[in-house]
Amino acid sequence: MNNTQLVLDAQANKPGALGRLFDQWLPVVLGWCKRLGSGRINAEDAAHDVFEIVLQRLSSLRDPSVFSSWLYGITRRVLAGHRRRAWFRKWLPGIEPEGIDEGPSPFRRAEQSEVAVRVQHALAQLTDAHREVLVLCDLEERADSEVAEMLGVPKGTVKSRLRRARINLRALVPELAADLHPQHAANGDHR
Amino acid sequence: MSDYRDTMRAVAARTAPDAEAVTRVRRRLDAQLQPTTSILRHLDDPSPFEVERLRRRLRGPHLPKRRSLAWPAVGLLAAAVSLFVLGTRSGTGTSTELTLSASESASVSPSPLLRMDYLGEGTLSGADPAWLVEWEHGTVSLAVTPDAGADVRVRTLDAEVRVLGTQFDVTRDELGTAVEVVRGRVEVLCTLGESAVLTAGETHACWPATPAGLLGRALALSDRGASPEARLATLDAGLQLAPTSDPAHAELLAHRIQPLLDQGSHREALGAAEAYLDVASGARAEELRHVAAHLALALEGCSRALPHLRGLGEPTPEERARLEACQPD
Repeated sequence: MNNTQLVLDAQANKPGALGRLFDQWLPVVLGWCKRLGSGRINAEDAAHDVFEIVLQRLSSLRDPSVFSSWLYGITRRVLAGHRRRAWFRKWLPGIEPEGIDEGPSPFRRAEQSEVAVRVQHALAQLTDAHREVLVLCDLEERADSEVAEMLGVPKGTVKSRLRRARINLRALVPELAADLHPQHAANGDHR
Repeated sequence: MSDYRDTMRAVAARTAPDAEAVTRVRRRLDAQLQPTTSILRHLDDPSPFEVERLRRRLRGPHLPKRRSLAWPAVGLLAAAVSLFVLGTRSGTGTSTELTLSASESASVSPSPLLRMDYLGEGTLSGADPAWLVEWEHGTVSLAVTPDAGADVRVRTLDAEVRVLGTQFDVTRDELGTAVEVVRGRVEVLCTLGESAVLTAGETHACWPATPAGLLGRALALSDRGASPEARLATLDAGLQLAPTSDPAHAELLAHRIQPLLDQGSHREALGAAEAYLDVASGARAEELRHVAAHLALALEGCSRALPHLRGLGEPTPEERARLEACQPD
């Protein structure tokens, strides 16, 4: 069954449809929460919140074919809320141990030769917009057009944002080779 | 130089959600796929509205069916006990980062100062004498050599445990983070603010620090047969953290109904159902409107029940009859 039909079934309260929708999308949303959140955010709680909102608003989704971008928009807002609360917690005395969000811990700051680990930590230092486009395009290997729809921006914006994000990522992890075809890399087109 | 695409795939694999995390979130969501009308069994004694017949009707085709909890097996992970060791050289000494993932008990001793037995997932990083364990889920037991200058911390999203020479266990699950000291002395700082210093034989529990986490704790307590008071305390703590706009707010309200009925606080249960209806809509709200209507009829009669009876999208014949009887001429 395609996703649009599944969303329609869930909207119509067909038995089992919501459960199947959860089965299909929960791992995806949890992945977004893990990769786009930070160590201060509980990805499982954030994913739970996303589906609370889905349950409340699914009936108001007019075009089921845009479900994935609708879901991604909800995830973005939920993550922003969780980040905001984590930020506030940091400034309330006694609420959270000191120094938990001071960038990489002393242990983390130690040189790490494993490039994947360094990239993972470098992603956390990028802006939300750059991290988002790298996660969707390079980690999840989604097509530029799909990412453009999910982010609600033109395809050209995705490409230029991806190009800048890769430059910034490589500045943080110099070992990360620019091994893509030079012209594609310049265009942010990785496929 | 590293191959960009391979590296990004390695990062994707490192950050992919594991099946157990998906299962944990799914377990919370499953609670919302179950018909809320089972709550009406609390009206059995005394029941002014022939509850048995009504219950049969409420299970009718207009309500979502109880979803099977059948789950794809997560057994593939169950056998896996993995330990990724990334030993690296820094300018000042050896720094280690370990990814710990074990579905059966496993051990690691990264230094003569520290030994860890674990069952669950987390990371260990640092070098002698300072070590940091960031623990995601499950139990980790640490034995730290006393009086050797070791500075070991265990951090979860609910708590941070600081220690200088001791042996202790940290367990993180749906209930929060529990610390049990076997030997020595540790300091526990809960994310929600409280703190405790524990000595041998003492335990301390830090609750989850988010509304959704507290909702998960309440559901876990319910599964384990905890008292209504314990479930309500957790739900109320969640509501204190959750403004009306929080996604978990309405569900926290909905889950108050059952323990209130378990306590015999029917009036408060009606209040909880009405509070839910004030902030939520959709299929679940329709179910809870049935509950509110019947509680209101049983407790206060037509005046309080009328708005709920009128609001029902698909009233049963009995509810229709009640509505007609309650309508002013």
